[in-house]
Amino acid sequence: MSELSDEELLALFREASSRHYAFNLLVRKYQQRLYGSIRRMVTDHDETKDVLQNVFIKAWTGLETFRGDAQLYSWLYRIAHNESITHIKRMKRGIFTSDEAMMDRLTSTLDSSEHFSGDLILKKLQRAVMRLPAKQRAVFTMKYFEEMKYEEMSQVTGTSVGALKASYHVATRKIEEWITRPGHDPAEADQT
Amino acid sequence: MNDPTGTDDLKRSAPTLFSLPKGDPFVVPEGFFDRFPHEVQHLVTAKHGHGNVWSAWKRFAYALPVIALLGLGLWWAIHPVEEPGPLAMPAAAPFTDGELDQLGDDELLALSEDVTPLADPAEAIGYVDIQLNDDELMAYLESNGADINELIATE
Repeated sequence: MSELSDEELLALFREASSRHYAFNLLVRKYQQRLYGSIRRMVTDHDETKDVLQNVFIKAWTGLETFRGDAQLYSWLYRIAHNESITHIKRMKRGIFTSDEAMMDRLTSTLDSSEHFSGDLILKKLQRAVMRLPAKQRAVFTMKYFEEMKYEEMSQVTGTSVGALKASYHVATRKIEEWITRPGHDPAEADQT
Repeated sequence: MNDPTGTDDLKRSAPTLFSLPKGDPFVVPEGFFDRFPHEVQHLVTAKHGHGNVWSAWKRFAYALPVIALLGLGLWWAIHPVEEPGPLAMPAAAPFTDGELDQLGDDELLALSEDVTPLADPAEAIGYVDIQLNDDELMAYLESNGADINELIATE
C-alpha cells in the first residue's frame, strides 16, 4: 500500500471511526526520521524511545487542533526538538546525576557495540556533541547532521537566524577542538 | 561570497569536523520500528481514556456555578419577595409647618397618637447622672463663681 499524504492522513484522523488507524499510519511514516534526530540529541536508545513516545502522545492531543498551517513533519519535529531539550535538562537536573555520571553512562552506551556501529572518530564526535549544552547541541545536530537551513531552524527553535549562526559557529569550534586535541578525551586513552 | 549552507565556513573553521563522514552510527534494536507504533497506540488509548474522565469532570466543574446561578434565579422567580415586616420603616410623609397649621385639632390629636413618647427624655438628650459629694459640689460652684444662697433661693 502506498504511503498516504499528510492531507489524507489528517482527513482520516478527523473522522472518529478512522482516527486510531490514521494515527498508526502517521507514527509509521515519521517515526524513523524523528527517532534519528532525537537519538543524535540524547544518545541512548531507551531514552530516545521515551522521548519519541512523548512526542507522539503530544501529537495525538495537538492533532485535533492542527490546522495545517505548517507542514506536518515540521510540526512534529518542533515537538521532538522541545521534548529532547526538556529531557536533557531534566537529566542534568537529576538530584543524583552529576554531569560526569551522565557522561560516563552515555559513553558506556557508545562503547557498547550493540548500540553504536561507528569507528573511533565518530565515537569521539558523538562524545563531543554530548558535552555541548542542550540548545547548542540541538543547533549543531540540526545544522551539521540534518543539514537544515537556518530559516527552518529558526522556525523550529523560535530563535533568530543570527543567533543560530553564532551558536553553530561556537559549537563547531568547540567540537573541532575536542576531537583534534590529543589526550583531551579520557576515553581515548583506554582505546589507544 | 554567499554561503547559505555554511559549508565554506565549516571547512575553514573546523576542517577535521568537515572531513568526517555523516553516516548514522547508532544501532536500533531489531524490530523496534514494527513494535513502536503499537506501543504508542496503547499509550495514547490509555491516556485518552483518562482524558475523557478528566475532561468530563472539568466541564462539570465549569458548569456548576452557572447551574447554581440559574437555579437561584428560578427560585427567586417562583418565590416572590415577601411584604416588609413590622420592623420595616413606613414611607414617611412629613408635614410642613404650613400644612400643620391648616390641620384641625382632631386631626392633630390623631397624628399625635401615632407618635410614641420616649420612655425617659433624659436618655434622648444624652443625660449623664453625675454623683458629686459636697466638697466636689462646692469646688464646682466656686470655680464657676455661683452664689450658693442665690441658687437656693431660686430653687
